[in-house]
Amino acid sequence: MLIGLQIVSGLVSAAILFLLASGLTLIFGVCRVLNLAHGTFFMLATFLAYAGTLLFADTSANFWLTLVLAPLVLAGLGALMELALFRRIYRADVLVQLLPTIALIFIFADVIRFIWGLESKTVPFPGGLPGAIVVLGVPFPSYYAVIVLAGALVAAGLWVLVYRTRWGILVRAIAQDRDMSAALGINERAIYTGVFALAGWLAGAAGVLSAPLAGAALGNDVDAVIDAFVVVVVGGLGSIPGALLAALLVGMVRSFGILVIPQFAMAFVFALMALVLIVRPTGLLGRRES
Amino acid sequence: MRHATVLMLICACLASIPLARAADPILIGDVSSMSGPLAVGGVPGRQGTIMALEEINQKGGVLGRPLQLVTRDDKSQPEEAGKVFRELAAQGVLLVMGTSGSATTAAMNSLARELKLPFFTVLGYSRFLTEEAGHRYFFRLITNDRVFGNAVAEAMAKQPQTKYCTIANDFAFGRDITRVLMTRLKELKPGAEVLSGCEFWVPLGTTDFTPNLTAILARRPQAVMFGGLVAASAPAFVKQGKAFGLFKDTVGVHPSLGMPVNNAGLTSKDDVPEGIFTGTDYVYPPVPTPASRAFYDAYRKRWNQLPTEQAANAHTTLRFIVKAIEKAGKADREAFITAAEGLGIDHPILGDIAVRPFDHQSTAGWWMGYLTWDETHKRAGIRDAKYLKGDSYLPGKEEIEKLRSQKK
Amino acid sequence: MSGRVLALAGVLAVLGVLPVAAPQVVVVHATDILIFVLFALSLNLLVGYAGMLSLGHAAFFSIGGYGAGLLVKHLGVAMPLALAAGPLLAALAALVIGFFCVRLSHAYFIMLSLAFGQLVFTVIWKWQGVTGGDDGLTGVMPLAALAPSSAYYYFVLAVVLACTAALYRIGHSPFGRALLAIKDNPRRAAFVGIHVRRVQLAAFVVAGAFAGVAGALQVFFHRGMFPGSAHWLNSADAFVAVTLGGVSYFAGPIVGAALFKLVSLAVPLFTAYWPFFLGIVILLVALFRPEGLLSLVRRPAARP
Repeated sequence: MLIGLQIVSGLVSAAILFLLASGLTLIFGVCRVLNLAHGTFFMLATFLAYAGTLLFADTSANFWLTLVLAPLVLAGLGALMELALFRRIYRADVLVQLLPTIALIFIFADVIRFIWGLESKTVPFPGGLPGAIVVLGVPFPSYYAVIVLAGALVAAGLWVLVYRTRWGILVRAIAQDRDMSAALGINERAIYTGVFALAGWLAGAAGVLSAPLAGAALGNDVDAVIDAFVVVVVGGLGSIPGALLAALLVGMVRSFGILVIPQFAMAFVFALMALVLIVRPTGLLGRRES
Repeated sequence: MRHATVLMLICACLASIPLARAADPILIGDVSSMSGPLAVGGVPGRQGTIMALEEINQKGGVLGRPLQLVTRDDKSQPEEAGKVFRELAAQGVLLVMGTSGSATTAAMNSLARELKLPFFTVLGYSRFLTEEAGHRYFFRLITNDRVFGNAVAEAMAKQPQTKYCTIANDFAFGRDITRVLMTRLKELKPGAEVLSGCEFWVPLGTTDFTPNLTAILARRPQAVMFGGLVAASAPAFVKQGKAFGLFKDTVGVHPSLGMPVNNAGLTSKDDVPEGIFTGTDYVYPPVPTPASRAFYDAYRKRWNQLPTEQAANAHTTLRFIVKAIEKAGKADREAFITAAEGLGIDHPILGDIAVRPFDHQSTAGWWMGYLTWDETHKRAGIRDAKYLKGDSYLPGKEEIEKLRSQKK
Repeated sequence: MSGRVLALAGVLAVLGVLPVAAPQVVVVHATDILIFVLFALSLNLLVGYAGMLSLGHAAFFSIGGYGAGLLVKHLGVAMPLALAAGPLLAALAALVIGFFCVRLSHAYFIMLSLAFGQLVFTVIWKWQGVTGGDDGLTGVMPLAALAPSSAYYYFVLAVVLACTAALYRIGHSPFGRALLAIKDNPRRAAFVGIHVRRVQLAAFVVAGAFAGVAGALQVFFHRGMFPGSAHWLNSADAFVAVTLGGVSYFAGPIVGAALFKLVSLAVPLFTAYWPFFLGIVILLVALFRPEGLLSLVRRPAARP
């Protein structure tokens, strides 16, 4: 019974991890940028979720409203970031690209502190949900079903977007062979902006969805970006199916690891990442870079 | 022309001498965490100190001299704390006080001994700071985890629960409080045990407790001791635990969840389950004594924020320091230490406390009660609060000497 | 050429008279900056020469410090011996970790280096009985003669100058040229006969050793060491420092590290929001002077 329970809780963690990691892996796969500021977007979204509860306090649908609006805000922010910052430095070394992402971490953390203060915040569960869903004898808050459902929906939506639309074909083309794509006349610039916007949207959705569980707290940015990178790297940089697989793996490692060796919980993800990279240097489903 | 200039210079020098002597301030260093993860405690602490400073200077200062604060930010980093501590020593401060966490305090603690500079902590609750690692130059007006760990253990020993699960952030304080409390509980209550496989350690900053909660619920404990969860982890666990219905059949125990810094993250009534046994050194709703109300009103007026335990503790610490300087009669470090040993002060929330001469730990105690929602102040608080003095839980002189000699 | 020599002489002169001319506070901060400069220079051997972006470099800094500190505190070893042993331990760790890391490239290398760095951090944090855990290793005293700020400053100055000279020689040696060749085009370097993996591993170990020296200097400076010294954020700080100054310049890390420390020192005196301002500085440099601040003075060379 315990095993079943841990599988379910692992699924829930995996959903959020996938939402977070998919955007990051897209940015790397297509634009070849390691966006260390991705966790900052996630954290900003959690605070926007909190702000949403205050702003739309009168409506009972305030959570759903925030879930629609906040990711759009972050999509816009992502696009802005691409246009204002990254566009200038694609030509530069990858190490120079890391700099502005680190700078954004510092800047946004203080902006969030300035606006919302130092104390962490809780966000209420959305209203109108049925009571607990009893799974294997344990009453899971029905909100958890929302998370798993959302994760599955986004995964399906991404699959459709990347494999069944014209935009997706262009994105995959650029990811596979940048020079050839440019030679074929594909407008990389618009695609890049779109990818950053999509990644922002995904981080925003992850943030709003996780807020009723984990709340909004300063310091979540660094934890989130590390989690996201572990999933991305374990899955294989640039691979969305890899991110899904890795998210499940990390979620399960966390869920079961605490049963077996709880004292080393803080090392789980790093040990996993090191192990995978040693055994399979390009991640589970990653391709060797040409 | 030249003679006039020289004359003017001489007059200026003569004129400035008496002024300098009268206005020569007493310098007190303040190292607090104003940025980084510990800032949530450091900022109110600094504000409490400044408020006390202003009150003291309004009444004429100390020994006829104004009090001046030399402030530094340790950025929640121990190396930085050590560096700025040394900087303040070089600036010639009489002593240093500060609102910083355990690790940063530990760094400054050992420097205080080396530089013979008295140091007061406002946020370091680890008992080892005045026990094994204590020395002549380290003072603490707040209580420590031995006191509130044991006090809560004794209270829980009177309750029927014996089957416990524990969960804590994996760091020194988290390990310490879990160990102190569970050890004492097992001593007092036969049959009390931590269920196998139900002792969890989560990294600092963890806010997703789903896998831990499912594992805990599967074990069906009678009580869950989560006293090692701090800052953002504590409210997240409470909220998620409540959502899972954990606290309906299981008693929650957390010695310091009543502390505003640990429950600030609970922002609505729905987040707070009833019946969690906890404690604090600053109570919401405010204790109905004149001193407590006066402090509350003054802090609200000055900073337009709700006061917290760091604010009250820092405020009291600075007032104590001033009282000791006046007792010493001069701004001298060794004389100060002699005057401070055994000296008492009134704390707005904890009443009369005194600094024990042989370990420089104060007799500050702990308020305990049940977590509840304080609607008036729109934050979590405790109900049925009772205060316990710290004296009976603190080790005696011989034990302190033994602990300190072992450390060498 | 003479301009450079003059500048160098000027800097050395200022550094030399600092304890006499400046208040003690300045000496304490200068010591701190020198240690960070050495740490940054060691990282640039990997970043600037070899093109290996390590986000786990702080692990070796930390091992150097903890190694030296533990020897002094628990085994009563004398400071000079501990100071030599710390970097050796760091080099050993770099050998083990580097063995796995150099097999990867680009983003995977970055992430594996980060993972190992965090594992070192975890070991230090958890091994409370030995390292003191998150309460830190405290009470590590230098030789009595070196305890005063000015004395320790001169000591650090001497060690850092010696290490800087050594790193300069290493960089301009055939080994250094081999690293640059690998960074430029690994396949061609292999074709020319350079044993790529072996040379990269050697660079990793040497860089780790010098980071260990910086760490050993740190543990005696602060009278202790804390797990945060191994955290990837500490690696990121060094990374920012080298890129701020310019990885293509030998003096880049020196300038970048000094600037980074000075901003981190000065701004908190005015506001608690110093990370915001530091972020703005980094952003401006990244956007307008991506080659580093030294590009204001000189054109970037092909090699540092």
